[in-house]
Amino acid sequence: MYAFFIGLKRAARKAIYPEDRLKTFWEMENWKPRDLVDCLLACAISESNVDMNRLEVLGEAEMGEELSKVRRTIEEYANGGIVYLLGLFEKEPDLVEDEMLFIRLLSEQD
Amino acid sequence: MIIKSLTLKNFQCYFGDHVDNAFYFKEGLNLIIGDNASGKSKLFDAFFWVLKDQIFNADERVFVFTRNYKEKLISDKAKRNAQVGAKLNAEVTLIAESSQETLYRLTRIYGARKLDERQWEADSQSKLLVDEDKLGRWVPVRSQLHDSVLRRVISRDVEPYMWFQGEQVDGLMDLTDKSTLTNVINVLSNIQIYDELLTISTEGRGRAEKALRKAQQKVTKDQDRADSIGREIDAITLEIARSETDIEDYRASLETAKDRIEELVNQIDDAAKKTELKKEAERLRAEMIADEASLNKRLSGIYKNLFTKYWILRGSQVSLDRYSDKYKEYFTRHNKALAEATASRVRELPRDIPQPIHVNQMLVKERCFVCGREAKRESEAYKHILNLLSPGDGRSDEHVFANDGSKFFQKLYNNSLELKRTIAGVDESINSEFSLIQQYRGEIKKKENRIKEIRGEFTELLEDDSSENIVSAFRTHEANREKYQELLNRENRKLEAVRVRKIQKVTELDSLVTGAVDELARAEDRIYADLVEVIRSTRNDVFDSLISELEDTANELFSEMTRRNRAITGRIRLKRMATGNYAPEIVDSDGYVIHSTNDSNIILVKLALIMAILMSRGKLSENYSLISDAPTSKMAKNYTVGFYEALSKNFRQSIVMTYDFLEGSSREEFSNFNMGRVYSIASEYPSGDRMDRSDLRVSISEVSL
Repeated sequence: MYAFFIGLKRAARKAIYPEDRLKTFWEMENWKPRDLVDCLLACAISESNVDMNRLEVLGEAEMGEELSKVRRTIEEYANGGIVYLLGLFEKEPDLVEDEMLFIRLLSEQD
Repeated sequence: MIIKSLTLKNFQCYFGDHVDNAFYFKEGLNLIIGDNASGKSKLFDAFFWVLKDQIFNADERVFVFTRNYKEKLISDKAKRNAQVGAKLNAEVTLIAESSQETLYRLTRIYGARKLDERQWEADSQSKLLVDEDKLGRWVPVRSQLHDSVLRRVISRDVEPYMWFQGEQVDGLMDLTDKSTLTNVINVLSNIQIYDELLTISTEGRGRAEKALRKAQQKVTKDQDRADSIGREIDAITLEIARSETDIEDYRASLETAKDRIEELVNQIDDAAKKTELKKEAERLRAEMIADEASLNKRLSGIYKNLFTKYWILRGSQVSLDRYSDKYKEYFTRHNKALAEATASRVRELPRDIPQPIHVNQMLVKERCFVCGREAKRESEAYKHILNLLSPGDGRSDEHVFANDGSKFFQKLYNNSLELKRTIAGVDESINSEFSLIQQYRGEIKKKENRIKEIRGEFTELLEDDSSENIVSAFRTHEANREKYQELLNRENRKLEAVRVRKIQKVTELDSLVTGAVDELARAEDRIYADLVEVIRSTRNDVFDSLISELEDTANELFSEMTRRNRAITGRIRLKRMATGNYAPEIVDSDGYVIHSTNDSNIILVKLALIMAILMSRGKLSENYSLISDAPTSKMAKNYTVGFYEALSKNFRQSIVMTYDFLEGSSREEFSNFNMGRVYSIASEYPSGDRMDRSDLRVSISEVSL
């Protein structure tokens, strides 16, 4: 969840290639806390080009395709966030020991 | 056991039969008062001899077995009086009473035959007889049980601390060796049981860990990887052991540096300034520890705040606003579609046409009366007829949208509206937390700087009082303190990381398991790991509380003994060393170590500690008799009375040979003590020639109090 929001804040969106895809995905209904998950979904919907009205009239197969836009958006921002963090650690390995890093990244001015 | 009596026959200077040389003892402090060379030490020897078959060779200052001491053991006067060819025996009989009030009689006999005026044929060894009192009759105890009776009179572990000569006290505890006190506690308390348990459980843990790994490797899906992880775990385990050793070394070096600094600071003459600075430094260090704990708590709570205080949402408001816009647009289009669908339905068939009564009949008959087609229950046609019964607006939207997401999208919208205010406050929340953290860091830095300044002030004070060498030594030890503290902190962090790595590897190994791992191996591994922790913490708790009790008791005794002579101020402190050992020291009221203590004071500290240990958990002071020859020989005047008072109050029975209280007038000191019996002994030479040992005997008289 952190990686997603960092990616979102940094507009760091990075596609995941099929070979990088996780074989297992932790079902979103298990994510917690719920209100944060809802926020994440709202952000993902707003950042994806999913058509909410169109979703309501599609058949099952087409709907799955449309919904995957949201899922891809979540993955891409999370991936972007992770790539951004890895880049930071590569540049400054000592940052690993900085207990404030994640907070600082969030609180840095946009 | 409590000693009831000791009688001697022709034993060394005690010429004559048992009845001539009899001492009867009671509970409390029993004294045998005598001048030098009056037979006190020989009486002390008699206790040892009857139990251990050893005699103190005063010429060589060592204990020797009777078979090597030979006829010298027998009274010179008895030997002189004996006829050629006669056999003489030296005997000592000790009667002791067990806690069940059973009396035991122990008699050791050693004989020699007079061959001529100079030659004696001595027995090859002494003989021990042990009898038990059964209804007023002495019944021999089987020789196999002799040892157990002897051990009940005085156990081997306890003996050096309860049966000692004054000159031995100094050697009983070598306080320059910092493990001494720990060793004494180990010997005299039951703490060893915990140490043994810890060793056994640690070994068991190692075995259980290996057994579990073996069991996991048997059912692994990737044997090569499992083997490689196994080797990595072995290497990490070694790394942990090395790191633990390094930590111990750094701790020890840090302690040494601190001790040296303390010693050097003690040399500063300006006591008031020294105390003021030391107190300030101690206060600052204590406050720093508290600040660091608060800081760590805040830092470790930071990641929770990401979720609990919604910090993670910082910067997401733009996206959420975008969602709101998207939702509003969606909502408008959704409602429009819904309205259109409803309107078209109204146009197709007006409300209540056909009338509900006909519609109900259509449902019963499962047939449409308009078109005449069949409408079986659960069929689309049936549902369509059923819908005619609902009021126009209430017609289900599910028939308008294949997948109605309005409720879900609305929930997301409401949630984002609710969190809007929280998100607006996130900056303030983060800033306030950051500022608190900065505040703690600032405080810590400020205190660190002040401690550095204090160090500088100490250096200046030292420069005023001491040589350049001392100042330079102070600087070196201060630098060492800083260096080892830093190394210790770094190593602790490293150890923590290595332990985490081990857990990760163990988890990885477990993830390769495909089949069922032997449950017993898993349980054993878990149980041993818990067991080691439980035993270790229990052992430390027991040891720490033992030390704390010991310190309190030793101080009570110390203050009791020094009450009559205020030359010693201060108290005993048992200082915990980095190695886990405890070292005793005398400190003044400000906590400064008093280094100027003389031998006499050190003896007092040692005696107070030994007595405190004997009085502690094992209650050795209750179960055995303390026997000592001239324990106060190295003590300053006025401490002796305090020592006897402490002994009489705290030990069930003590038997002390002493030259104190030779003056009859000084014996009024006994009036408040818990006294047993008091004897006065003196050497006698009936012929008047004090050089003629063959005329020597000891006169014994009981002193009435």
